[in-house]
Amino acid sequence: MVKKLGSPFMFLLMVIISLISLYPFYTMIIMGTYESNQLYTGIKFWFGDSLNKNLASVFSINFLNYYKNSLVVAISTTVLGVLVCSAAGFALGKYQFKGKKLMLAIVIGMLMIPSQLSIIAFVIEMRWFGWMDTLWPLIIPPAASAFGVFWMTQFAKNTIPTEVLESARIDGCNEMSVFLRIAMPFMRPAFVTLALLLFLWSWNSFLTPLIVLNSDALYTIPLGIRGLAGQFRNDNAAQILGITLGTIPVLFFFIAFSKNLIEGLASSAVKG
Amino acid sequence: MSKKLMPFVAILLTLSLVLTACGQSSNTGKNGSKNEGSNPSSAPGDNNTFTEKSPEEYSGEFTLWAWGDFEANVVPAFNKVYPNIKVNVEVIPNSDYGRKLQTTIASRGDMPDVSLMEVSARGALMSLDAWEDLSAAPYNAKLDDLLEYALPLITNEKGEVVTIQEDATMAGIAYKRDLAREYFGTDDPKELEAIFSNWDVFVEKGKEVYEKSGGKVTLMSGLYEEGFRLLSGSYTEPWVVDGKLNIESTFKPVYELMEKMTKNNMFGKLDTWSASWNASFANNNVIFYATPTWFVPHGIKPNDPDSEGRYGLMRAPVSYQWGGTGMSIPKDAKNKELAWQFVKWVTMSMDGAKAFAEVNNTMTLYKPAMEANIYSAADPYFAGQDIMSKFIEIGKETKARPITLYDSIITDSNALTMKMIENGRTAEQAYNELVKMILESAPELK
Repeated sequence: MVKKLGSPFMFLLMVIISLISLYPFYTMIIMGTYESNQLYTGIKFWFGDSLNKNLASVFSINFLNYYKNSLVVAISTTVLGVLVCSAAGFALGKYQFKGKKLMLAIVIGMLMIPSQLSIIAFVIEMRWFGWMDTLWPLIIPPAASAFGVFWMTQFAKNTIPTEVLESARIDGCNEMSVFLRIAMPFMRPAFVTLALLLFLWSWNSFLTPLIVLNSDALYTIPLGIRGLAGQFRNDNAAQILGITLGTIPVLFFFIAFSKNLIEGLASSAVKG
Repeated sequence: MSKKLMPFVAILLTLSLVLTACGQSSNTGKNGSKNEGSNPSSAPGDNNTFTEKSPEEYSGEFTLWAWGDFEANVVPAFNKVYPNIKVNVEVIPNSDYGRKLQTTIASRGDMPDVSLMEVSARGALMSLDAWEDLSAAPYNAKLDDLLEYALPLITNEKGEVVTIQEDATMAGIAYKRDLAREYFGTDDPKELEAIFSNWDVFVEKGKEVYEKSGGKVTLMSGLYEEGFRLLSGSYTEPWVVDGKLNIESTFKPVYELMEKMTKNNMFGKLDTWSASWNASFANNNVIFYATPTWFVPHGIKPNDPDSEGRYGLMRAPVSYQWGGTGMSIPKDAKNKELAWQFVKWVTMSMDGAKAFAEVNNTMTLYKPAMEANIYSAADPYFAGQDIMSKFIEIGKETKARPITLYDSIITDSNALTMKMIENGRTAEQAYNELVKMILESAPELK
């Protein structure tokens, strides 16, 4: 009885919540089809007729190249980051060694410090490596994400049974095989969640590219889109269209892996 | 086992390919900077002077960080005179320009050879010990060639000229001719100047316009920031003197005037640069706009492109100026001599002035170009009025307030306290709040 009464109500509630959540996203899509000076003349519910004009503005800047740079940076960070973080997480979660507590404390400490605070030291370091005005500072440091290491450590500690690892060792597995063949499958849900988060952070990163990149040829999407804002005028509609186009890969990844993402978040929420 | 390892091998291979792509980009960047470093013109001021050469003899490249296309636009004309100097214009978003510059200075990163200083961020930037003094050797900028009013805007507190402003920024009032005829019976600039000769008339006429239009039309758009620029523009006291706040003589009278004007509905509530303000040009809800030179090509014309002949330009009761972008040469620049050729050519040459006017539709501060009458022309958009000559006439009487380190804090606080006046608070309340807010941000000014 309760269920029968509750279901239509829940359905309606979910429809309303979905509409509220989706409306800003829908608005972003339709705003990219208006002219900038029409944007604030009233609430828009349907598409405008300036899509081609805005597309021309978006492609008047080096948008495809920004897209390529963003993809290179985000994919590299994700692949490298997942490997580094899961290896570090497995080691910190499942091995006992000297200095482990200190290392974990450093990782947690890094989580607490906003990146803006350390930006000057970061730039000095990147200069020292000779990495200024290259894509390396956007790939290598974020691949060793403090959050990623912490996340994988917690996951490895809670989900990989020590007995399984020990039986693998008894059966003759070396440590690399234990990690790749035994630990990795256990960590898969966290692996996917982390990959999505790393991709998203890298894709949306603005401050680091702003500071380390000087050449337009290396700009990523968030930095490049800002080029549509001049000193006196903002081509808001073209910027919004650029953002919409920039959201496509993130959406694609999210839709493709949403099941794993939720699984990863849920399992760590229960066990973490 | 090997099958299970395959995905990892594939990932590693993909990664190495992708990272190789990064490597190519990085090489380009490094080579670029190496070229700059090895440039023969990269050791300026060794003997404390630049050797005079003909323009063709200067060769090499330099980097300029810009946020728009003001500078890039004049590069082709510059290269006609200096064919062997390559200008690398790197575009940094305007809103993030200061942050990038300050971080680069703090971390001693690679500075550009020419950096821009927009007037609103100039106080904090000029006080950094990061810029060449362009009035000293080896640059020896001929400051007499620039309109006098600009000198306080380009000089830091140590008396060094650390930037040369590109554009002239003297300002008047642009008005919509149709609305001026409807409400004041004339659209002639001279007659309107005679009517609007003091602020009391502004208050009186502002009230009339509001009442006659049933509240649909206001004389001016809003307090922030047009109203403030117009009303405060004639005050030349620096806002900080000897490390103490010195705003009373400027802000008290300006706020009192604002209070009176707001109570009489002279101002609308449109913030300058907001979407509704942009829309007001093509609509009929505002008559007057505080208008510096650059505002014509960047404020009025883009917002109201189909209104040829609709606008007029008149003097305000006071001579004032607003805005401006300067070009500076960082101490850490690698190609100072080449950079200086560009800065000098744009800001202090007849060719530069002509090119600037042609591509940017506004003028530089170079006096000889104004005296040679190169800008004089009937502007059809202003119903044939020679607005450039009007601006030059205003420029001769314009004075500017020296910029201080704290100007942006004061400007930001002022943007908030003006809202108090707009919402019916008294000038005194707003002024007290302004002082409180500034001292909270900069307690050392007490």
